[in-house]
Amino acid sequence: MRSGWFDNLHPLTKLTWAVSLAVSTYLIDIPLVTMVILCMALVTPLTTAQPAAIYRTLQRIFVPIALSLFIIQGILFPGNAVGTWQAYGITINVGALQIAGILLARIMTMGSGLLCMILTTPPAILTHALAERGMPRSIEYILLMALQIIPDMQARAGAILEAQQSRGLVIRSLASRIRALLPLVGPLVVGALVDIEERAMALELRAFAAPHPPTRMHTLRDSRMQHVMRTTMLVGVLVVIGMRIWGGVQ
Amino acid sequence: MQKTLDTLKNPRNIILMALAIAINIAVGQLVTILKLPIYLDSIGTVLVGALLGPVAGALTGTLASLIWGLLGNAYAAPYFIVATVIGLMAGVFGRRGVFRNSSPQWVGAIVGGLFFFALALFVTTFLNIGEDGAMPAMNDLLAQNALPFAGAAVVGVVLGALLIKNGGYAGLAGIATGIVAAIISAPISAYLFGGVSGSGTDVLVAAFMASGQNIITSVFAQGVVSDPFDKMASYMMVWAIINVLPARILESFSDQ
Repeated sequence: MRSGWFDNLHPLTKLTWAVSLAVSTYLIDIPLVTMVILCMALVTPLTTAQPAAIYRTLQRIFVPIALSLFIIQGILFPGNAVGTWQAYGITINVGALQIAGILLARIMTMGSGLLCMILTTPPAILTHALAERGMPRSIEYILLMALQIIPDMQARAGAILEAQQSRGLVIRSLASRIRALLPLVGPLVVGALVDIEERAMALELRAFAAPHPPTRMHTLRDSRMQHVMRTTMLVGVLVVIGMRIWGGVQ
Repeated sequence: MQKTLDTLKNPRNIILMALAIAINIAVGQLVTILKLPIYLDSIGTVLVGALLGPVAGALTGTLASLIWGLLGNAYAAPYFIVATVIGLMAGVFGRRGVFRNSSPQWVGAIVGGLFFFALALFVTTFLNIGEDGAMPAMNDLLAQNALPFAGAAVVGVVLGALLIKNGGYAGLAGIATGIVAAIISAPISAYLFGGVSGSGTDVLVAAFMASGQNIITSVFAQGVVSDPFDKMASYMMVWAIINVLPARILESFSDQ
């Protein structure tokens, strides 16, 4: 598989980029700047190995949000209208629609930046990078274990549903679906609690409580250049926050 | 602080927290299959709070939001504060014995009745706020809508007696958590996302907006209508599960 420029960056560089985009788009209230930041966020996927997949995910998330925003902000927005536009018996509030446009740009900026980071960074690499910066190992373990167990737990939920249905559980009316909840959730949770003993033993056998840091399968590549990039972005974010607080940018 | 670190050092607790996050997601999926109008996606967080205390509950809530983010749902991440508070509150209620003690059935009936009455009052008040933001007079509201209010209270009493049964304390704690969750999530939702989630609850926000309210009030109203139900169901589910667990399993968790 082809590897993109963005994919190979240090996870913290990608995280800083995503956070900087999100913070600046929400804190700077100048429409032109919002659009420039949006462009930067939307260009980011092009520097990854699989831009098409990221754009597809973005589209899947944004279409319903854009529709809801259009209805809630554009048609139902109360108060003084800057201007209205009527078509097919519906009054559209143009001023509110502009606000909705800016809001959509911000949501897209945040989503695009975070998705680029998430989709190009395996969770184990991200938690490794955070652990190197002082995140407790137990938290790293909780995150990674949860990610690994989720498919297993989903499969178990499916199996419990089938087992209960084969014993005569009916899921039809609202009342029957409410009644079905406890027989489905109960075994799932109790089964998980019973498993804890075995998993805890496995964890202890793998020297989880050992005092020295664990050896890693991968080493993270960082560079002086990326260090400078991260520092610059963080300083930029602090400047934006400072300007917002002390009244420079409104 | 020392107790927090000890909680995080015990492998059993760590595994419970990881499992709880997976439970949140798996139960969320089950509820979608059952097509129920609630989420129940914080049931694992509530369970950790109930078994391990407020700090572990809060941490599980935070990490669960992070996991949602890592799974590609980037918009879940800003709500981590809500999930954290849910875990924290479940822990506080857990220490007070809410998940261990059974209430008399009449407590469940009263909780149900009061809840439905309060919900009806809230929605009616909300829909009758004047253009200038003036609150309607309570006496008038109650007099004009006496029958619907009484109906709501009776339905609530019946549902409370039948569904809440002996979990009255857990149900009440769940309702309180749901109201706090709605209060915290409304500004996040309104400021970051314009009150929009792209899901079914947007219909409720739209309905409140159509009654002439602004975004933040509408989002808050939507939360107050849907969150207490959801958290009450989660709390009661955890109450029911904890009450059938063998004592050997219950005693193995360190907060107790």
